[in-house]
Amino acid sequence: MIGFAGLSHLGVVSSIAAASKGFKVIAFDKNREFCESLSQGRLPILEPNLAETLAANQGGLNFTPHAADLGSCDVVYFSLDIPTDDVNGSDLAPLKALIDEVAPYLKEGASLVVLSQVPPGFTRGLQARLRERLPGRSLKLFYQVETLIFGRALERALEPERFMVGCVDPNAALPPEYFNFLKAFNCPILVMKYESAELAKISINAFLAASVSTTNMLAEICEKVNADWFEIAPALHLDKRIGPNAYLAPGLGIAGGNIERDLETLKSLASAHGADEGVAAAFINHSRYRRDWVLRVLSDQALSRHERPVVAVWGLAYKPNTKSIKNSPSLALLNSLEGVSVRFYDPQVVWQGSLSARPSANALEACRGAHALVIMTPWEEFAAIATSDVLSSLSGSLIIDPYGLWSGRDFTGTGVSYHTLGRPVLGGRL
Amino acid sequence: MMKLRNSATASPARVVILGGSGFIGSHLTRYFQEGVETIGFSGGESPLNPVAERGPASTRGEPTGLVLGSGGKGDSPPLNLYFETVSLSSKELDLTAPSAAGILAGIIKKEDTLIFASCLTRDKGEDLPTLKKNLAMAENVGLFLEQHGCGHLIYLSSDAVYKDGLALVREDSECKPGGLYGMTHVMREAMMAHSSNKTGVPLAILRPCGVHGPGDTHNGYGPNRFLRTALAKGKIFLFGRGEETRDHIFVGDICRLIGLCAAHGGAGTLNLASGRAHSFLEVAQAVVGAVDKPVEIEYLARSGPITHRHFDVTAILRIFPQFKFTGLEEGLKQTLQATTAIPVGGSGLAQGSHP
Repeated sequence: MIGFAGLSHLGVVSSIAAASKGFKVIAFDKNREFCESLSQGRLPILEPNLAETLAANQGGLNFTPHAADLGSCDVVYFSLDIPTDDVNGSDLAPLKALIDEVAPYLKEGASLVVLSQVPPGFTRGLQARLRERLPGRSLKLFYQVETLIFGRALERALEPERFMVGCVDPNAALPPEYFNFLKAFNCPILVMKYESAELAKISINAFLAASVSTTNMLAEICEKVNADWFEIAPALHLDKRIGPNAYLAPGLGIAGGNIERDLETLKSLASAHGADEGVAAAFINHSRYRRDWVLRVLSDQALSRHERPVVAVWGLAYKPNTKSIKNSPSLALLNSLEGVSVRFYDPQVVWQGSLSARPSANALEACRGAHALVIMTPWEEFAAIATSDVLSSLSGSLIIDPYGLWSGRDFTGTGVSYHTLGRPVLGGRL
Repeated sequence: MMKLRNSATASPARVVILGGSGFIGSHLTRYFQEGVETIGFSGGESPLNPVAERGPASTRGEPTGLVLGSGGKGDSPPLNLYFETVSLSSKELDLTAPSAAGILAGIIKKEDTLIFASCLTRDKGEDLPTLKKNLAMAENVGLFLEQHGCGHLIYLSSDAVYKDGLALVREDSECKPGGLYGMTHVMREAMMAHSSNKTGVPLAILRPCGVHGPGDTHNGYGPNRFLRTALAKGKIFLFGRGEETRDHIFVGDICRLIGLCAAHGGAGTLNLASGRAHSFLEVAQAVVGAVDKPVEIEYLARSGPITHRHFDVTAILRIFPQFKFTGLEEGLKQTLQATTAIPVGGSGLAQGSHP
């Protein structure tokens, strides 16, 4: 029996993935209504195939508001996503409170696995804390690295590249129940010290940040020297040192919250231990700079050219297939456009808007009379909308499409000025 | 980064300009007296934009927005803020004198916005005595602030505070000036911040890049010197091939940005730059195109390495997204018009007079 405590994005996806591997799962969240909702198949998050997988495995899942129910589990994951503040600092208090609440109910010899995103040193500190609070208990404590990607969370949970497990003694065998559970996913299991595993998680995100930042820096140079990043990127993917899955798609900095949090953690660690923080700081600064690319283009091409500009914004989520708006470039843009008339539409995110930014019923409605269209989230729905429908709704001819959703379209003769990341501007006014 | 304390423009009781007869100070004085261009918040209430004055678009519930210069209300008249303006030159008030703080106390009221634009610039000497005088001015302003306070302090600094060789300058770029003039502003910024922290007076630190426009007294290498030599000698002298790129902001844009900062109660640091860097060759060619007479560009031996300086003006766009910068050609045109109106040797493109 596998248990999960803390049903945020990570916990919901992980518990459903565990059930789909044939394990009996007890998933705890103290919110009774939330548990009932999940039991009825209603999900609070958007992930491809998650609803179908939940429906197919409801029989193996028990969503419960009672922590004591986890007492029958051999392995209990603590899977609460760690909230971050405005400056991407972690708040570990909810996780600690959850562990304090649940741990007393766990059975002797149970494996307690922290799956949440914690900094180096947390798990060893937790071990001491548990010994102090629950003397004489034989709980086994592990830290397991999660590699959830919003929008691909279930796929990643079902088919992980590897498991990284932090433990007190890397040379000791994992408890059979825990090992058998991990083995069901048919991937390498790398066992290491607590601190190594905690830092491995941060290391992965630091490398992703490096790829994202390097890509974004090169994309900007491309825009300015008449090069096309999308001609360069395939060549890089074929380089074994870079690889076919490297993050080479230009974007508006780093968003989503997780990588930013780990960069902040790296800066803090460097500061606390007298190491150089320059690289992490550079990633953070460059991310902020690229996040505002749309604002710069929009201001130059539309806001400063019209007395009363109207802007249509498609997409609020920080990327498609998620409802997450954490550090969303779209929200950052809308905050900068306070006072400018904005109409926005997102297929999934519900946001009430502001004094000057108003929601629209659909994508074309948002375009009506607007001087510029900005595609801030490349939802598939937007790819299906005809250029002619948009142009007949817009009163201007500026299209800003950072992610290149419409980059394959022919704007010849339309007068459209098309701006996308990594490529020179296409077209212009007729 | 700068934050605006008033989302809707609100007129300060009065503006007091120190350094009011200098290049920027004289433009500022005229600008504030003639009425500051504002951003009218047409979607909401403000003292300057009451419901009764809203134009047709607002009353129909159609999209409305921030509008520069027009007040944002369709057919309604332009909305300019008129400030009671007190402008003090160095002749009227010697800020280096020990008595200056006391004199300021007799002039400046609690609610006033104080614009500290007085500084001995590089052309007055980049040496220790000049540094000492500049610091004395800041000391006296700081002492006045700490004893009496005011509503809002705007300190006009310089991009000279930044480390030489930075390719892209932002407000958080490293401040490590290569000369005493930049160090002057670093120290004066720190002095103003100290007094601001002590008294709670909101402080805006504005760092202009190279400023061009009519009345420039500094004769720095760039648009104004090129115009001046083009008109006087029919020549423009460039170092190397004029490859270096720099951002040159028009003095009118400086005034508009300072006006917006005053009207919105801006606090924090903001670079005043256009976001568009031109090579000196491009500037020279623009001058050649603007001047109605043959002008030859003469290339001189370069003495140092080629360096570039661009500005990321996102911070301006984030608070004033509709701000429209004056292009280089348009700025040159306006300078030429002013120069034609005022003969060379008058205040048009004159050089050498003390600000």
